[in-house]
Amino acid sequence: MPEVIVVTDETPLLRAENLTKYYDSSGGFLDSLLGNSQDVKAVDGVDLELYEGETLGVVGESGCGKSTLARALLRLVEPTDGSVYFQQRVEEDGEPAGRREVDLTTVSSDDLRDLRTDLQYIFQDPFSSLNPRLTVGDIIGEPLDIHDIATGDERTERIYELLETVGLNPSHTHRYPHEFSGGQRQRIGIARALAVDPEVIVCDEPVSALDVSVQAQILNLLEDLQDELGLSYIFIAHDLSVVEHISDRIAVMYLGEFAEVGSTDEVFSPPYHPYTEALLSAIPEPDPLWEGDQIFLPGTVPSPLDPPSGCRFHTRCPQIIQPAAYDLEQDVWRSVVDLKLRVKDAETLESIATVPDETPADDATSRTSIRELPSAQFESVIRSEYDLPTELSDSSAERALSQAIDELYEDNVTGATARLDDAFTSPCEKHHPEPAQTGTNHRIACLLQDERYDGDRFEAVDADSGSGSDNAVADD
Amino acid sequence: MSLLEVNDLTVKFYTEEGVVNAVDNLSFSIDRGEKFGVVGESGAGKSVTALSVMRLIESPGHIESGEVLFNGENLLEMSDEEIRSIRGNEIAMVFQDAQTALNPVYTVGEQISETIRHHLGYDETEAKERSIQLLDTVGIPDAESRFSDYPHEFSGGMQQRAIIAMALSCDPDLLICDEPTTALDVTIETKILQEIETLADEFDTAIQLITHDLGVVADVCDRVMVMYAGKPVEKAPVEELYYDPKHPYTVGLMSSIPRIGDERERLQTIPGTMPDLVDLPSGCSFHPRCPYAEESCTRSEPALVDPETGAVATDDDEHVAACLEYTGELTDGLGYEVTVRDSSDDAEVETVAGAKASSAVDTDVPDAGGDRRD
Ligand code: SF4
Ligand code: SF4
Repeated sequence: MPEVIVVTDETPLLRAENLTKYYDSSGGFLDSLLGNSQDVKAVDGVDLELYEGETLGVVGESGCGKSTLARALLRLVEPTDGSVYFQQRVEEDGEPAGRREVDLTTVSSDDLRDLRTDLQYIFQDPFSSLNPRLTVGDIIGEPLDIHDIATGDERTERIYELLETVGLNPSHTHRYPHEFSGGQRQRIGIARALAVDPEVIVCDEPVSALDVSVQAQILNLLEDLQDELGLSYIFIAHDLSVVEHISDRIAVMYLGEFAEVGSTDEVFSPPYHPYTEALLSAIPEPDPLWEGDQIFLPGTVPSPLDPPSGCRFHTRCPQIIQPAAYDLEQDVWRSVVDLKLRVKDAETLESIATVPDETPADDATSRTSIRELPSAQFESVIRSEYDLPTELSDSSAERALSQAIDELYEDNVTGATARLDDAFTSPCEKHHPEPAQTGTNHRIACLLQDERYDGDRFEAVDADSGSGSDNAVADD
Repeated sequence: MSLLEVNDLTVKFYTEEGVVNAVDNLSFSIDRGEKFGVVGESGAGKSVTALSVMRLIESPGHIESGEVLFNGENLLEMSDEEIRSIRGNEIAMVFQDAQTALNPVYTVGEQISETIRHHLGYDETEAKERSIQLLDTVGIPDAESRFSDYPHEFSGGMQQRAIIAMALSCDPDLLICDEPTTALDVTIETKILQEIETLADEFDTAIQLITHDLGVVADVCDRVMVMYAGKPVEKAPVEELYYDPKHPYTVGLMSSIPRIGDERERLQTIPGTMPDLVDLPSGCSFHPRCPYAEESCTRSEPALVDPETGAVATDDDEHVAACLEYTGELTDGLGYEVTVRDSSDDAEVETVAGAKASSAVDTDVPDAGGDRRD
């Protein structure tokens, strides 16, 4: 057992360090025998702190790993790496006697079971997480039984009390989950979590399955309970406006990593992480006259099996940094990178661009493959597919681009790939951004906030890594 | 003549628990090229309305009465064959759950081609070409090679786009979208909504957009109908609905959504839940949850009226609401006020409940247990 240490106010109640969860995606024994096993990097080196009485919101799109993170934090799934430190209450002779730090990832399963009285979980789908064959009283009573908290009349009393706390009628203890509406079932889930008098509750999308009016009821209930019982929440959700409403601090997650962490105000005002900025701009405002500048992200979240190099957001980031050698319009630069990434992944020419409807065909049969187009048209189809101007403003960039298109025309995809890679490599593809402190509690993991970025270009310290752009267009 | 005109539609479901009044005496119309939103929570009757228009109500459901005029012809009286040729051809539908709309054992491309061949009589090569173009139009990258992917190889967002491509493949006059983006991430949602809008404008397709999301409606629609417990409670042009809501339920919905930049500590809530459709409350169905309900609300059922005059709604009325306030039957009136916050660059609407509504703000009490469905 770790020794008892004195805990000050600044010590987070729960702290994760380098928390990592990989899933093995291989098909099974044979795959692993052949060395085919591949890891899904669901959560990859996350650091987080949860302070007493606060709500830390975690947002991200589906597939960003937020639910896995929630589970790994409480060791509902076994983390692959990292630690989760919790300041556990200790009692001596029934009296509170400070706290001691335990690492949830290393405690024995017996200890972990005991710790469940401090750390609870509320699931997204209140229906499937409630045993349909148990009455509400038994669902709520179960944790009381498991941890020997109360029996007999005391148990009944406690169940009534809990039902009342979450706004349900105590006379409903003998009903079954299906007799309740979605919002009421979520209240039952909350009552079950509260039964053991926990300190931390991880709420995994607790309102996303509910109607808006009911959602508001549950959000208010969670806030009231927090005030009343001093609970700390980790609140996982995909809906930014819900997270903003309930959280004191917010972590924005992308492909298994935190892109940004900060107080709610900090995250919702500049400087932004480019991903957060895009997410924010995408929320449809309930106001018909609202004309937001929506930022469109190209593509979808890449596979966590093989996340992009450098900054994982670089395949979609509107602000991806240019090589020092160029000064292109930012959206043109983004388009160049889009073309480059597509060519890299392309198996055939056809997958790089399709012949648009209106392309004039000079013979009767319409062309279905760009391969059949004459060279000038081929080039213009490619450029228009990627919103590229007929000529890039930078002559060396233009030279590399048009040579690459020529190579594509000659069906030399490999050559084009190499040329594009040589000429157009962003620092964002090479350097993994470390979280940079941008405010008292605000950390952004983006090279734009890195001290090596001077507001215009990114200077890598080691000479080697910046090479992509420098010698790019010199070769022929 | 409107493209679609639904008159006095009533749909019931005969279940073991009793007769569910899914849609009750519903009328609305959609003009050619118009984007019409239907808003409400689960149990409001939004989807049943859509399914009735497609004549897809199945047992134990039954369309009791009413008519659904499409280009002046009553869909409810057509032969099965006639309705089939309209479905998919002139009226297409996009459901929330793309997965169920795609057959897992055929490639996405085959399914779209098949639809095109069936409805437009294209040959195989033509149909394939057209499908690839459509997939490209709805923003599927690499459409040519994606054509031969199976549905499971598509992400959720791509599946939904494929469904939209399929729905648009026959250039329908009316596209019914039932929560088309609810299962999707917000970054993809925006793109899909924009695609639906652009394509609809391009093809002059009318849209019936069914959603619970007031943000989505504000973004896309021209006109909106708010439904509660199987009935329309308010119909209005989109700006009027947001800036000058007339029905207490609409007001409640607007103020219960959390808004970015909103400093409110607590959200306003509509207490309780949607009533049991088997056993609807007497009078105004909303009265058990309405902060302004009075004795009379439990007795008389409010009709849809013009809130200015109190006269029964006609087709010409732009803005109508069903609340006794507008027929002079309330003693104390409605106590909310709407303030439009005008921050530097965009206007925000904040619906503030007035003094009388304070009971609603604090009544975060769920129903006494009478209801058992969602
Ligand atoms: S590091 Fe580069 S790609 Fe990543 S978010 Fe910052 S600018 Fe975008
Ligand atoms: S009729 Fe009465 S209960 Fe119904 S909305 Fe109006 S005030 Fe509320």
